[in-house]
Amino acid sequence: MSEESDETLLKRLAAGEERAARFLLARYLPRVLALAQRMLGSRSEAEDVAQEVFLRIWKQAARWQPGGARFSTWVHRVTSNLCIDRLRVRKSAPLEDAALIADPAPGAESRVAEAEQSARVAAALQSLPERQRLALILVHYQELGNRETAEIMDCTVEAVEALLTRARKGLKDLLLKDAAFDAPVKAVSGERQ
Amino acid sequence: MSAAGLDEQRLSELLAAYGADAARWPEEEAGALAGHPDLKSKIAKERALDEMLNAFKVEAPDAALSARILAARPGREMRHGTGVWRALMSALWPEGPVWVPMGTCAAALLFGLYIGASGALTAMSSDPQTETALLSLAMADSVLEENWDE
Repeated sequence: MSEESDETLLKRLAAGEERAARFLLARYLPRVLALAQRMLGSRSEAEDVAQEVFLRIWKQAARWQPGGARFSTWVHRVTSNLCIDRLRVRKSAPLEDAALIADPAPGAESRVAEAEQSARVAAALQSLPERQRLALILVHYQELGNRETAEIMDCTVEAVEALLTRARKGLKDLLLKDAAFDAPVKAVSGERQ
Repeated sequence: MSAAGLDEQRLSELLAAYGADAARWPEEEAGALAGHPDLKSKIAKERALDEMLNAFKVEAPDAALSARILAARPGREMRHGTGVWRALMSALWPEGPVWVPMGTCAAALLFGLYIGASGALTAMSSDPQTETALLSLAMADSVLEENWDE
């Protein structure tokens, strides 16, 4: 993969270099897809979102102004917004079982337990209010700092911290209730952040 | 406040928000976890959740998705012309401007012409004995073989 900065690749992309497009795709597609799949709980919807994100990247390349927001922040923001738009549309339609749509079927018997665990976490994530879920995905899975997460979510660092605390509490109640820990078990709050 | 100076209340808040992996903590507070044995059970619980969350893997994107995304790039058609020519150029050179492979072909053609022309000149200027030997070799002539028996 290219070591060039995002800004350099965007300039080359604006000049019509297909290779620059390939480098940007290799750098960002796995991250965009992972964020969208964890937010939406659906691979096919995540792929649709990824296509839409890259369409915007291709169009934006020629107009990109260095010195403003970081490109990676912008990509995460666009992905997050597209996911939230889909979740809002979906609210009026019946929701599929998150555990069923969250993960592809395992290919071998030895992977069944792993896949079950993965599906369980996916379902628990889907039960969180969308902004709690987004904060947790950005910090835990995308490994972004709290400031960048706040910028993407258009809120303060303190608000990100509060969302994370509530998200993790909800997940602990759901996922660790059988483990030997001393915290009380409660249902996940249905609040919307 | 330095990372080492954080009180137990703040450390508990950080653990509850960011989990047990200090790599996810705010930079300025990331070093504060060490040396707090009182938080052992909280750290263990947050670590258990971190590990559970890490079990949710997402498969890498496949080649078909990448191809669809690249194919949807606006202006791609304009760079490669239209119709059959565009399809041919895209198949031959998907990496960028068409002048790159065309220039390479032209350079190769010129180099071939140069080598061919200089070879012909060398052959024309050789001495009659070499010329006869080359001619015999080219025609698989047996004259020279008979001479070897002499």
